Amino acid sequence: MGSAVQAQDEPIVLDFANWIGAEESTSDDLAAMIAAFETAHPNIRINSQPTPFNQSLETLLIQSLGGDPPDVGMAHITWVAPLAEAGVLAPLNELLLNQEDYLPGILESQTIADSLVAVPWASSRVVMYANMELLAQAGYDSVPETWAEMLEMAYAVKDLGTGEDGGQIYGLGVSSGQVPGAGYFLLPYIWHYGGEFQSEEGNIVLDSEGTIAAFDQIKALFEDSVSPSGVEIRDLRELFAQGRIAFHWDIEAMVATFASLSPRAEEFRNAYEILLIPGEMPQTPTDTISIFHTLTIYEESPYQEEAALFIDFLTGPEGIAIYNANGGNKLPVRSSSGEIEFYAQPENAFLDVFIQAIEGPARSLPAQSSAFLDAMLALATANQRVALNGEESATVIADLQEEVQSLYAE
Amino acid sequence: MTVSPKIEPLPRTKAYSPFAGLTMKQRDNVFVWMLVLPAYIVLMLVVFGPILNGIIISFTQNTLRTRENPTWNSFANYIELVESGDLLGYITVTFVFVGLVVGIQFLLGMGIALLIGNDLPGKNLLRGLFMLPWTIPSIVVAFIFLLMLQPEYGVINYTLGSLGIMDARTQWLQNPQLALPAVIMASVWRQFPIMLIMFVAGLQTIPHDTVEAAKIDGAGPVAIFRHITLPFLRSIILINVLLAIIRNFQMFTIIYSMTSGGPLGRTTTLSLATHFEAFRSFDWGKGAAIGVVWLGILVVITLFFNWLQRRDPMA
Repeated sequence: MGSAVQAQDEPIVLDFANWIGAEESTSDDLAAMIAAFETAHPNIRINSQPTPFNQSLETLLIQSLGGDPPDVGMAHITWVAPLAEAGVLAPLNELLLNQEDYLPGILESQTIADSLVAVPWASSRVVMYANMELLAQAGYDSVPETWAEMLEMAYAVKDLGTGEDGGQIYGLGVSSGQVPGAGYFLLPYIWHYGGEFQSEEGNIVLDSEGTIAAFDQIKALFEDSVSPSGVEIRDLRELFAQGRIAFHWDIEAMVATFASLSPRAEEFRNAYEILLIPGEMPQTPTDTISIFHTLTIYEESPYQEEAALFIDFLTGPEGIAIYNANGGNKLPVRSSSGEIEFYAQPENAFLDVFIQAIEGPARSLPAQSSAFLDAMLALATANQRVALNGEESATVIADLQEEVQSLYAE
Repeated sequence: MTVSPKIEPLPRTKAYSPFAGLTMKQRDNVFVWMLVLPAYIVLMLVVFGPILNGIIISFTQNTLRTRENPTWNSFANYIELVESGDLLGYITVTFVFVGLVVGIQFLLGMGIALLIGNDLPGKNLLRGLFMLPWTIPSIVVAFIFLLMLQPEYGVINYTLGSLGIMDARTQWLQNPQLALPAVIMASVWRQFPIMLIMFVAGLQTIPHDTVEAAKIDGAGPVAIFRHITLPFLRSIILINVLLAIIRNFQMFTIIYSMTSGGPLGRTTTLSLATHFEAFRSFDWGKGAAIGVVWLGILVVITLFFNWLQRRDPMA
């Protein structure tokens, strides 16, 4: 935590726990944001505490429960509930600046029991990247408009066999990792086939014909080799960047990642289009997922007002402009941030797709409970049972329902 | 002439000593304990204190919600782990992992030590090369094997597929049958150099004249190994194996980095299970309960090895 005892003329030091400082593609952006903030606020210094994403939640909890929390912490949307439950977050209802500038519904999504506990920083959408070169080889010259077309094209691309490098070509990538992210990437499948995670009353309703149908579909994708089996999301990104998968679901920030992974570098951008995950019929709502990276202030921080200033900068036009300076494609959460020049640049026209979804059909993750992370892990494990172990979907889904119900009941 | 006064010697009095009445050996023991006691106190505080705290936590309901007021729940955490079948699963995976890793690295270490322990040209270079895996951090080893075992572009699949030994797209880390062998492979590669170097050092202590005499009497390599090498190496073998067992009971980095305990929990050992309960499910009571079971198993194993050591005929 920033030092509680400051000499009169010494700047206040804010500890900022984050993971973007630990990632090569974003560490420079963070340094630039911090430099710009410190220039504008000479009495405040930011001490970045980068931790790799997979260890961030544990680190935040251990720091907080150990009595040494940061002043500001970056948190994935699925971490907010456990942090709030631990009682370590400061309420932001009175602290947050320029609340009227935030897009409709954004702040409500991070309000738990009337207490605003986190501020969305940049929003993400899980969308579909479509390799047009592979589709062309399979005889298609446009992206799919419906789910059925997507599957048809995926199977057709799979039938291409192997590429020039001898590597197998796949139609649609599905992760079978054992991490929460692999779980919530399955939600569009469940939603599409009519299943749900929770009812409006908050009951777990996974055990349904829709969920079973979704798992049967995923199992078929593995059995028919339309999707590579036994790979995690990072492997799918590699394979897409190598031009070996026709359809890949991921967040919009992958544009820079694909360029760095692809042997064709920036030129690979010309090989694919980006679209929302298609629905049942043309022009119907999609099953795209909405995800946020949030910013939180810690209850024990003695510099909560200064922390609120920092958050205001990061979510504002200047912060978002710097965050996007290297093509990070972060989406705005404030109206004023949405008007920066970056989004108007012709080469960023594809961002219109994501921005449409901000107020459109994308569904937020039902992450209001601290049990959500374990539930997503259980969902990922259920996928493994069906896809890797060949078990019957109905049996696995019944077990999943029982397990998630008990998680939410605890 | 001045006569100096006669200085009478002081009367002899017996100085008081707390060690009066003790033999010389007892006084030495007391002195040794006085030297060791400060370190012992520190050890009690930083090692046994947390262990005792962990044992107490294992008998409480201590979660994210109840952490400010944990309640005593007796053996409820243990009962829940046993009834769910999870604990038996963790113990089984741990024993299989430890048994195979220690067994394979023992055979590898001993075999290579016998080869390079002799007067082999270039043995020093070989010893240095064989030590290299030990110098690589476990996390790096994990990522090396992650890349090598990648089903689509890993070198192991490419090589085995080219030789026609197996499918070139074999799943390793997400195959329920192959994930544990994969992490065993990585762990053995990382750790066998320590086993090897201890055996090499031990082989140097075997008297040459004993071996020569055996050869003169017609003993072959197997007989020499069985009746001379093994007895002389008994203590080193016991210590080496015990340390390897403890080290692999504690193994976390390689397994967590390669498989995160999956798929389907097939590589979830006691160490990973403790971590998952405590820091993923935020149930510190149950995590501590797994830790106590883990501790109990290691204590039993250590006592067993100490007993074996005391029976060493060469001691």
